[in-house]
Amino acid sequence: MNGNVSRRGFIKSSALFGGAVAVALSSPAGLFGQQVVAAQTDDLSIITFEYTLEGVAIAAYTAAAGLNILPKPVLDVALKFAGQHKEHQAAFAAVIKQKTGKDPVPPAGPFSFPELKTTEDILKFAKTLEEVAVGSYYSAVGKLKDPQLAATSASIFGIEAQHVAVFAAALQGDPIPGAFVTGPTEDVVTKTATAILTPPTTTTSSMPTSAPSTGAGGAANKGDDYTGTVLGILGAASVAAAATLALRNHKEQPAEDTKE
Amino acid sequence: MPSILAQTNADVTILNGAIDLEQQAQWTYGAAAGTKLLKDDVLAVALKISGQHKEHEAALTAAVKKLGGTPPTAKTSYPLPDLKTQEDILKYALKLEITAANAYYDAFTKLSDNTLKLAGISIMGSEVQHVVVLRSALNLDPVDTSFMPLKSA
Repeated sequence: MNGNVSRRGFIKSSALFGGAVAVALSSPAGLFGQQVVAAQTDDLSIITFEYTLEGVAIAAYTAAAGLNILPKPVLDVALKFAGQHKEHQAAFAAVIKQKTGKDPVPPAGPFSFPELKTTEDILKFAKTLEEVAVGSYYSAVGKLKDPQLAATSASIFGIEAQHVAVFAAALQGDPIPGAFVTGPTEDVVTKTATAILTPPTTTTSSMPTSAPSTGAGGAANKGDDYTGTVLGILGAASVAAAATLALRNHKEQPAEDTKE
Repeated sequence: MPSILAQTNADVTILNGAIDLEQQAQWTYGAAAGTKLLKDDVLAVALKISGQHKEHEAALTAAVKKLGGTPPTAKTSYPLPDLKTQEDILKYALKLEITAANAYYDAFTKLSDNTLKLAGISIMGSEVQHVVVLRSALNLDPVDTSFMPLKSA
């Protein structure tokens, strides 16, 4: 099918985690994550992976909130989205319980999150996680045999795509960069999920974010960039960002707007 | 079990319904631009969104033709409420985008071909992001539901 399938433009997991992915430990926690990721061959293992990823998102938002650096409007968004991920998690938990007779257990960590020192770090990581979620659900709907589970995954896919747009706008980027939304490929989803679910080694310090440095100032001042209500941030930023890019890319100007 | 032909015809009908929505969206954004009520930055966003609807239409049209179907021709006009302010326009555009997003979700559950389902979902992903932009511009909560379908505007 023709179309501008937008799998490109995604921060590769290797870039996010500064190069080498953490060496796998043989700890049960590490194996749990990798086993869950490596499975995904049948409906149960696919939704178990989705369930696990939702748990990772909840853990990430909880950790970010706990750093106490987010300005209130951004914190409110993080907590709200965490709440939505909890609903997604609960939907899959119910199905897993139904299929196995047992309540699933969310991933306990510790997780290999990138270094989160500023609000911008958190927003970038949140956007990455949501993109991974989009990609995972896109892959899932293509593989799930049960139409109900496929519909649930398609439904959640839509919400995660919205989460991505919100963070893109909050980062002063384009919330609607492409006409076709698929998220990253299954390969990138798998690598990123594995990296996050693999506990950090005891000898390494927490992994650096290697998202390109914007040269932004210290954490103390960064909060100033995000003052204002959530709606103000998102309204102004999303419209302005999209507008800027639209003006740059717009090829056919209406006659009265053409400037030589 | 329906024959392959019946399934294909059903898929074409669904895709043609989606094309109609994409055509309506483009016409509506064009009409909105013509009111001269939109500020420059908002107009730029509207044009960008409309351009993406054009891409959706192109992809769907190609799919319909590949199935041996005939895509619909765009109408010369579509229903339009009274639009007195920029806010009126944004609200109406939001309503159309929510309708489109939910239509793609519904289509997903009904299409018989997996490739078409995935294509439809990728377009749904675009529509729901349009909803985020428009809701933000209207100072509404950008993500007000945890599951599809989206709530009416």
